[in-house]
Amino acid sequence: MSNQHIAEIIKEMESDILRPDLIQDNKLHFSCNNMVLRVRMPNQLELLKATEKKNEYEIQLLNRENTLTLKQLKKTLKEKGIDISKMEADIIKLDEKSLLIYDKLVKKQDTETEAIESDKKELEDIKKEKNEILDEISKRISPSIDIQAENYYVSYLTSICTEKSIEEENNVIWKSLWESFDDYLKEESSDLKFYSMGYLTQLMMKVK
Amino acid sequence: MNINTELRKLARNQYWQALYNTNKDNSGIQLFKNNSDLSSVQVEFLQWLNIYNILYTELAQKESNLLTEKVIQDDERCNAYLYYRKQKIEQEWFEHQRDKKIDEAKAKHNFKKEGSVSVIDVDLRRK
Repeated sequence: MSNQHIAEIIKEMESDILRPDLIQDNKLHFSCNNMVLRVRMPNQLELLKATEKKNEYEIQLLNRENTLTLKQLKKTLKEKGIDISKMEADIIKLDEKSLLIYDKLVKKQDTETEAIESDKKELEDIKKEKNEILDEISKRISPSIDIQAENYYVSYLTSICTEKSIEEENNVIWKSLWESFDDYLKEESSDLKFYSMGYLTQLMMKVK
Repeated sequence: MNINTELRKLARNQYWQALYNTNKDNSGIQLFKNNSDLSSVQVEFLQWLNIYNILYTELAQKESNLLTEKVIQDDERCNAYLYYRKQKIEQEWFEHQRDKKIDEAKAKHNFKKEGSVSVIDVDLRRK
């Protein structure tokens, strides 16, 4: 059996595997750096504390020299030929382009496999193009006070909502991965921070 | 791992669809371990459960020849069908509103007398 054949079988098996753990409770489990971890939903008190921290940090940044709000940064970028509003408009145009492909795709019969794949490829290309623009926007606006304060907010919540599993007397217990926000800030593994923050964002994105 | 793809796969699965159908009659079956503080992931899952429930009902009732099991199983084809369905519902709503306005105008101006002519304003623009 060739490697390619094995890869195809694995891919097929993976497509059948369901992940009920994603929704069984309001936590998301993942592994990183050989540890089993989870992120949990923050409670109201923690959210309040995070907002206070964010506000404090935002004021600190506002009082610091050489800092710009999102609006100011967008203006400065435009003067240097980087038009964020145009990039946002381009994303809307790409979304409209996707809808035109949906119009074609919906009429295809199950038997028209090649035509379906061709439409799906077009959609995939649009999605890639859209993601590139989104990455560019995100990179360009990240130095702004607004985005830095928002990151600080999520970082703070990540530091208190990430837990690691520990086996104690044949029982699995969950303990905070970082003792404090300072420990989180000192953490050297960028992977650990990145994944924890990513999963927490997924977990509470629409609920915030 | 794309969480959205995984949630859709889970939501169209027979087991979860059956649980959802039973729960619609307030059977008290608990879907999740937690009853409150739903995560964004759980909320999104519930939305997809509902969408696939509607699609499976429409498939069983043969509501559209564009909807097949394969369409439901394929995320992009399913997105395309949901977009088509949304447009169809909006068009039907627009036509219904237009007919209602015409009927109201007819009733107001009493068009029963044969040969009578009247000018009326009916706003047929989409809103």
